[in-house]
Amino acid sequence: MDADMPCNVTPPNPKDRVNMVLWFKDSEGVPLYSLDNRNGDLEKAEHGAIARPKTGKGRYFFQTSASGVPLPPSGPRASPHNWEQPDEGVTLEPKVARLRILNVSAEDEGVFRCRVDFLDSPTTNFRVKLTLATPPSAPVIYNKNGVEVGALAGPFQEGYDLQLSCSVTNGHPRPVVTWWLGDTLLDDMVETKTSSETINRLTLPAVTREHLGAVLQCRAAPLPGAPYQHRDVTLDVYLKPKRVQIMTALETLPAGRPRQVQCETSGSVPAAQVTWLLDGEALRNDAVTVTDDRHVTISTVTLVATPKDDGRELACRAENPRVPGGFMEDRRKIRVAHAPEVTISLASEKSADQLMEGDEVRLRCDVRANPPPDKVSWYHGNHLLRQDSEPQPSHPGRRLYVVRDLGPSSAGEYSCAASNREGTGRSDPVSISVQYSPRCRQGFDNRRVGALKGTPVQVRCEVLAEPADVRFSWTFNRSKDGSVAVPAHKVETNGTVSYLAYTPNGDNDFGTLGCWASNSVGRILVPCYVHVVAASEYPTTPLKII
Amino acid sequence: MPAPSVAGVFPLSVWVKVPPFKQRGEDATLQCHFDLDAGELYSVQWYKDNEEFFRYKPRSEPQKHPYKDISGVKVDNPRSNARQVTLKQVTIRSSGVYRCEVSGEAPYFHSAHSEARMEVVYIPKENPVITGPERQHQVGDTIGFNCTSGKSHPASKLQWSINGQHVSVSRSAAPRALPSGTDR
Repeated sequence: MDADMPCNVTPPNPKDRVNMVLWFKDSEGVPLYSLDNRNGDLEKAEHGAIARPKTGKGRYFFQTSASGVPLPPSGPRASPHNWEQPDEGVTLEPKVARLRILNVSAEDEGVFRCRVDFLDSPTTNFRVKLTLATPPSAPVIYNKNGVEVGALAGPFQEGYDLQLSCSVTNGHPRPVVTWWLGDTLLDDMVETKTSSETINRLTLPAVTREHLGAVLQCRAAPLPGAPYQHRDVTLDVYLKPKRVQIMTALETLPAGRPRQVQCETSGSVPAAQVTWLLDGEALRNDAVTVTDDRHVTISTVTLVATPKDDGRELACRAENPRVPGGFMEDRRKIRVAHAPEVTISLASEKSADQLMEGDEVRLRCDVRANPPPDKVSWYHGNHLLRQDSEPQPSHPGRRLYVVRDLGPSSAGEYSCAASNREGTGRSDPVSISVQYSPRCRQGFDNRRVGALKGTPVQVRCEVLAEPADVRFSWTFNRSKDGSVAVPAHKVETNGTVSYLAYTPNGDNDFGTLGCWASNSVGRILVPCYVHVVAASEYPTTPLKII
Repeated sequence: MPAPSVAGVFPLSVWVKVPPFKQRGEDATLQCHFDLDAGELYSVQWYKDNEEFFRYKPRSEPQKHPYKDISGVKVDNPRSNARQVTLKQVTIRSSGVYRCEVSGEAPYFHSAHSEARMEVVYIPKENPVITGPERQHQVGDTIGFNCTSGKSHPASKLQWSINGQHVSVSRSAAPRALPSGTDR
């Protein structure tokens, strides 16, 4: 192979001419070529070339802009050459001459200086560097353990780093070793240089999904931009799951009935493993796994939900065990459809045993239902009080009912019930007692008793009172004298019943008895009257002792 | 890399004698010594910073050829010859690297060169001048003074002293060169 070393022999002034051209290798000493044009005629200019040291043959000749054929060099240094004659009609570039070196070898490398002496103008010096490149070997690729890699590298893990090194031997000057991905330069820094080897280590800090199947190329060129040798390697990558989704709606699972819940995951290479968790704890139900051929995995779990599960979180987790730390989850709250769970309680300041006649009591009904209840009913015993009461705005599951103006008949058990399409729930009842002052039991507020003179008579008084701890006192009202208290020793009490026994002897002993009762609440307002009349006034009525 | 050895050519040595410093306005003579042995001389070329400004070729007519238009170089032709070149009234721009290249005649044109640097200086013609407030100060005041040198090239190094004691650099601001060449 020949090398052409350019030298500009154009004089700055067109009227001037080249006087002498000297070519030096490495600047000094005897020039390896001379062109003596001092006689002014370029066609007759003297070329001189030194002999190549070992072979003794000339290897240089200087081709100028002369239109004619340059004469072969003459003189003691000359030796026969092969002169390349310009083709007929081809014009060499004017004023740019070339020194042609035949069959370049490594010894010819170096800096050449072309010194051009003009007749008039200052001398110009022109330097050219000759580099001989020998091609490098084909690159060899190693993994991070130093093992040679074939067509396929890996498998690498998504998110983890990747290391490959490319080694090139020989090559002069030292080859440029680069890593490429398609048209993108990844790495042009060479880490290791020994006398015979050049190594470029490639580190990718985090392997991505796009790297699966990507082709990395290592190029070795003697100079940047020169034709290169290359080695390709395809990447194999384990991928984390990309998508996880619970496909089944969990808004209304039926309570007590099995329901199949499906979870789908894709993106994992190889296929992901799926686990189910309920509030963070793994389910060990039988899971059926079906794998598609497009890297989609479906897992199915059978759930039998109870009302307690309402509001708990079900998670489907997809994981590729070959890529640690790369799992994905889809979490959903379970809503279990169930019949309402109802509780009733007092929402009053007073407790259930402190209520008094005339008070009002607020009852609160808490309903836990999914779906929400259609109706809510209030009961006193089994008697329906009301349906569909207004919910409290801040607590949709809580309702209120006010019982006003409590009386003795208000006492008893209160309960509420709610129903939805899953069923009806009824609360345990809450008992209310209402305290009131005594009043005459029905039928005892105004009685007539006939008595015979001299015959003992027993009179009875029955009251209703809460608490039932009652004290009685009697009064006797004769028509002319007014009321007098009846001595207590004539009175017998048994709970809410009081007996009075006496013997009417004279007309004075007939009249109206008043039965007064009182408890912790208060005293009876109007006593229970018993009118004791002489029996003879009622001849048709047999005497009765009541 | 040593010159290729060619049978019959004796080694050529060249060395220059260049004054390292000259004052502005002086003449400077640069000498080029060489030994061609028995060989004939082809050319002596003088370069300043890689520009040829004088050449001597015994076979040329004229033998001496000075070049104009090289900055800072005014060749005194009568006092220049094969072994020396004289520059008239050097200026600051005459500073540079001067190289002499000597080539023998045909057939070999054996060449060698040597170079050295010449620096043209301008020494200040007057003493430096201190300007600043001349009045009474309190202890703890900060007082600033300026010291201005005469024109000089290269820039003068200024040094402060107080009552004969040399002052450390940290107490003085960095010197500034003014376009006319003064320092502060």
